[in-house]
Amino acid sequence: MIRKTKVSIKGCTFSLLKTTKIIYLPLFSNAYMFLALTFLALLSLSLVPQALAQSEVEFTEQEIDAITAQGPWPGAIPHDPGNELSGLSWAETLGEALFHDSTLSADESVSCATCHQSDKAFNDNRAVGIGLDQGARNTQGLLDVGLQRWFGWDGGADSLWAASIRPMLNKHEMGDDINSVANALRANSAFISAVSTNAKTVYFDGKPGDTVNDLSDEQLVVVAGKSIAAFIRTLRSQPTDFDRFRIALLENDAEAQSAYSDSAKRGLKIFVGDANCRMCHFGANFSNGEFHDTGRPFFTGVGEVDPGRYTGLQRVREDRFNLLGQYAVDSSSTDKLKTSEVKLGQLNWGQWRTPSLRNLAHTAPYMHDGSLATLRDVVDAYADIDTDRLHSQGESILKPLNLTDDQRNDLVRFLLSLSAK
Amino acid sequence: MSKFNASNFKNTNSKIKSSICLSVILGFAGALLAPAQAQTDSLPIADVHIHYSHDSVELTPPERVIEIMREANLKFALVSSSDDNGTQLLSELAPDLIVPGLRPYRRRGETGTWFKDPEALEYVELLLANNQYASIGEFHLYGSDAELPIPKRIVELAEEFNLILHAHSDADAVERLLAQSDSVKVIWAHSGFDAPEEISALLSKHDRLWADLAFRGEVGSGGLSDAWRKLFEDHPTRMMLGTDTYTPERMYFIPDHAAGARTWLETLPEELAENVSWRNGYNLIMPIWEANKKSVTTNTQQAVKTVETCEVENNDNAVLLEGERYKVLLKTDAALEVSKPGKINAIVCGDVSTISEFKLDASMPAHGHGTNYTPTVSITNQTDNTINYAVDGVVLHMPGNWQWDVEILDSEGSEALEQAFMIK
Repeated sequence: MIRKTKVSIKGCTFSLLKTTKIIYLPLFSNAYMFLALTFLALLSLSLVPQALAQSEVEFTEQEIDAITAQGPWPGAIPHDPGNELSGLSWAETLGEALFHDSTLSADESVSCATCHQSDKAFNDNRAVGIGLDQGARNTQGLLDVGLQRWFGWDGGADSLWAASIRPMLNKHEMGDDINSVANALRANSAFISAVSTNAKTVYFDGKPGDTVNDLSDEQLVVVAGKSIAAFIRTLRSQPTDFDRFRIALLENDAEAQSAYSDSAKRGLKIFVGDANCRMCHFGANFSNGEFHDTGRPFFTGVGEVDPGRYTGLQRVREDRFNLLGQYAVDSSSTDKLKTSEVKLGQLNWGQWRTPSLRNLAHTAPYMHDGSLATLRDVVDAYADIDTDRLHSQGESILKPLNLTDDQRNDLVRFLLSLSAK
Repeated sequence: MSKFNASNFKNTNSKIKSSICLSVILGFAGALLAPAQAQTDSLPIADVHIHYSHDSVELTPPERVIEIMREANLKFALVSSSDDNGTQLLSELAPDLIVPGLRPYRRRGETGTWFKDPEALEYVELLLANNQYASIGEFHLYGSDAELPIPKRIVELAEEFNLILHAHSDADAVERLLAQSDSVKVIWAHSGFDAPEEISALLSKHDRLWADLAFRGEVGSGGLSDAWRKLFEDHPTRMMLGTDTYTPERMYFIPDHAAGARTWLETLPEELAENVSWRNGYNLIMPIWEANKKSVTTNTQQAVKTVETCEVENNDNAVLLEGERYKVLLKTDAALEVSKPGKINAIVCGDVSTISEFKLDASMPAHGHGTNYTPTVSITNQTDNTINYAVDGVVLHMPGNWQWDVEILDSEGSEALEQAFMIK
């Protein structure tokens, strides 16, 4: 039998038996005397106002490795592939203005910010988004979205800039067409001025420096999309209680560890342990960036389904703004590979992109269709998963978890610790 | 919904057609330089792995399912459902398209328990007594579980009722099933999720084994691999297609599945492509289904004759229940409708002189409940050999598979009679 034994005081941690067998000692043995003396020494240390900071929750080396892999935070956001404006401050400023510009919608009533509201972690807290009319999917928050490889619940865009163009042209969202968006941009003096001033950094037809007046409708829309993407890429979330605990764990900082509640720690143990959540919600952003069928229903009405990744892949292949197209500037062969080589198959039917678990406290309701109102509902849905909806050859890690009520609450507590206050 | 690379597809086909024309010109006497490639854009598909289970029935009307299947240009579909209601609904609606299979599950969640559940066997036997099928399955069964009493009885029933077994099994269980009979044929669902080489080995070993490719997304993904191509070439008459609509949403995948299959079928020689797409399924399943359907006609004719000797009339809205001492004919003037109170004329034939009470009710065996009302019963006519009862206020409040439950009390005790029926 193996267990890890720690005694912690403020600022230092003594691993008496780092990973060892339990040894049963005869009463009054020297070993007992040693332990007793050690305890007294530690107790005396606690009398100086350093509180004895012990937790009932301990982590094994394996668990600590797993927890370590869920950081660091915040890491760097990668360059938006194919977007020559990514990281340019003028484009970020312009993009922010366009993000709030309702003239880019068909009836000039909605903008990106209508659904992606800054005071709600760039979410709208609705079950499904409502732009010009009601869509079928939950609005995803935009904080840290630049860390994703695919964009949207179905991965229907392979870059942030392509994902930024799509809502302008989607009939449920902003409902406009290329020509109308371009005309709105031409009428936008701030846009014209910013692009004209920085024309040398914008690649038109593969070369920089043309004047904005020479741009086609489609080129203007691409510049707008890339600018909006440059802005969205800057939207970051702050370090969380979990991130602070993770650092404390790595640094053996017992006091800092004690600031993290035992309930959250127990939830974390479940997350990286038996529940296997980390298999998909992996890494610093708590998402493997890929797509899975977790058995969630995807009917959108009588006789209508929204099959997620299956149609997303078809869309990205047909998207003239994808990384294989003429508007992707300087995207590397690696960037393009994901789009050129991704396979479309029947397993994609009903798959959804693994969402990040950061900022969950601000982004209810949950799942691709907003069908689960609370985090407890989400935990319950996985803990009591309907295996009838999973194929025998499907995600084998998905199985009922047999969690107690307390364990479910612990898991919720942990998930809440992934949101900055 | 967009389809797989439709534009590329047409271009490829035009090239294929040109190639075929040129070949015919050069070698008129059948001396084609190369085997003709398949023209698959309209290739019919025999989909041998469809489920239309209880939750799917609730979410997609049967008419829409048939529409989806026709949109996919299915030649026929082998449908098995949990419960059987969905299969019967589709079968009634499109008998030209639907071949019914009998799934031993009353609910979808019985995949891991049915083979130890006597009630599952009772359910199968009840349905076999009242409906006609081409297969038993798709059922889930692994390893030595195939030799448990209930699976053994399933094999016996397959022999007795001329049915194919549709087994979601490992190779071990498939071999154990085949070993229990000299005649029973098996469709290996999903080809056991085994590799082509292993599938080929098992097909070579057993000439009563066929295999479907349901939920095998890797087949043809990124082009047909040499291993799969060799399997089709080595066993040109044994491989079949299937969608596996294991969730309600997947019913809508049938056309895309068919379209996807056509993209890799087009890389096979024409005859082989047709074999895999529909002919293998057709040649295996249709003769059995046609034979089983004919046995229904015979039974019906015998039933009518029995009624006539009892001097009871029959019509389209009549059903005969036969017990040891009594026969009961239930008739309605018009077809019963869901949730609408109906009136039934019940004619009891036999030595009716000691009958003290006649009870008629209906139940849904798969749902574990009956009706919400107690019908009133009154005698309208009586002879030495018959009693006519008027049963009023019968309300069948759900669509699906029902069962008439008749109880006749007399001087010897009582006799219970049952008869399955369906209401849409």
